[in-house]
Amino acid sequence: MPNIEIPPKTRNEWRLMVTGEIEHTYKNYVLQMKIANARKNVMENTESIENAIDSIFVLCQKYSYAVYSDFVEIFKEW
Amino acid sequence: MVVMTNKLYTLEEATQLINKNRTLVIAGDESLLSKLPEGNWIGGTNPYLLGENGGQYTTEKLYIKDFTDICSESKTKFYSISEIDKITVDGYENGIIFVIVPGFSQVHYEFSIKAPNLKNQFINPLIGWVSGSKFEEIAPGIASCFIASECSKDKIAVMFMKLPDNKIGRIEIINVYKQGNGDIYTFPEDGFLNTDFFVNGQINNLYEYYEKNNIDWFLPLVANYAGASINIGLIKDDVNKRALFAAPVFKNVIYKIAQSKIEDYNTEFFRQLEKDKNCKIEYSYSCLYNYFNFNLEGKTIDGFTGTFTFGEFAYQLLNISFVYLVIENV
Repeated sequence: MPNIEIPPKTRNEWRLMVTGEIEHTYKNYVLQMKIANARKNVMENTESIENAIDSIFVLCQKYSYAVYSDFVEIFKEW
Repeated sequence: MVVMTNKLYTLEEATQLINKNRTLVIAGDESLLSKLPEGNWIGGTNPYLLGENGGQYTTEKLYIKDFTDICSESKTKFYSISEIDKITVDGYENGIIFVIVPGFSQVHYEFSIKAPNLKNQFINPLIGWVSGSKFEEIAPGIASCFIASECSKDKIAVMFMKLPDNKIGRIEIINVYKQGNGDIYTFPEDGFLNTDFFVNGQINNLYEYYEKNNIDWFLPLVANYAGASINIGLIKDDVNKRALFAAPVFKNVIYKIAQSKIEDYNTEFFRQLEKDKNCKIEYSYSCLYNYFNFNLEGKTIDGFTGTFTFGEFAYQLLNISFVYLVIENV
C-alpha cells in the first residue's frame, strides 16, 4: 500500500511521544488511543519503550495521511 | 461533509436487500431481526434509530448499512468469551472489524475490559456497538446479536471486511464532554464495578463520596487519552449503595468529572466535526444517553442517520460518545 513518508524511527521524537515528554494534543483518534495505550503499558512495565515505538511506527505508516499534520508539529521536518 | 445515504428500512425492504446478497449491518427490534432470511449480514437488537426524520424508538423499521461497495470481501463469525483474543487477529490485513456485543452479558464485560490490549489492536478499525432493547426492559439475557438468522445472547457477532489496497478505514469520535479541572480520580482495579476509588490519592467509598459531596451522577468521568476525551458513565445503585460503570474504568488512568453538560448539542457536535467536513461519513452511531439527555427524539442531526446504542466501540468501549467511520484513499 503506498504511503507518504513518515519520520525515520531513529528520530528521538518517537521516544518522547511514548514517554509523554512531548506536549502535544494529537488530532487523530487512532494515534491518540495508541499513544495513550503505549504510555500506560510502558508505565506498567508490560511493554518496552522500543516495542512501543515499533508498533506506533507501523501504525503511523498505515495512517500516514491522517497523522501528517501531527507530525509536522512534532518533527517539523524530515 | 458528504451526506450519508443510509436510511431506515421496512422488513420487506430489508429482506429484498439480503436476498440480493448485499453485505449488511442491521440494527432493529428483535421481532424484526428474527424474521430476516439467511444472507451476508450481522445484526443487533436496538430499537433506537436515527432516521431522516430524527431519532425514534421503533419496532417497525430497521437501520441498515450496506457495506457491499466498500469492502472487497467479508466473513462473519460468533466469538465466545474464551475466543475474545482472536477477534483482532482473525481479520484481514487491511480491513474493518465490526462487532455487535449483546448488552449486559458476560462477553460484553469481558471483551470491554480486554479490548485495549488485544493483539493487533489499532491496526484496523474496530467498530461496533452494544445491543439492547427498549430502555425500560433492559436486563441481562435480553439483548441479542445475529449472524444471518442465527441469534446469540452470549457471543459477539463479528463481521470482518476486507478493504481494497488503495483504501483505509479511519474512525473518529465526537464527545461533547470535556475533562473538568477538579479532583483526580483513580481506581484500584480494571472493571465495571469499583466500590472504592482514590480521590487525589486518598481512598474513599465511591457511593458515599458522591452522596456526601452532592456530585451530579449524570456527569461522566472523563479520561484524557493523549487528546481524546474518553467518558465513563455512572449508574447509581441506591439499593446496594454503590456505583456501576457503563464502560470499564482502568487502573493507572486518571479520571476527572466532566465539565457541566453542553446545552446545545448540535452546535458542539458540528464544531467538532469540522476537521472531517470534506469527508464522506460512511457509518456512525451514538450513545443512547445522548438520545435521552439531549432530547434527540424527533430531532435530526443534519446529514446523519444511524443507531443509538447501549455502548459504542471505537477500539474500546466508550460512553456518551458519537463514533463515525471514514474510508480514505491512500
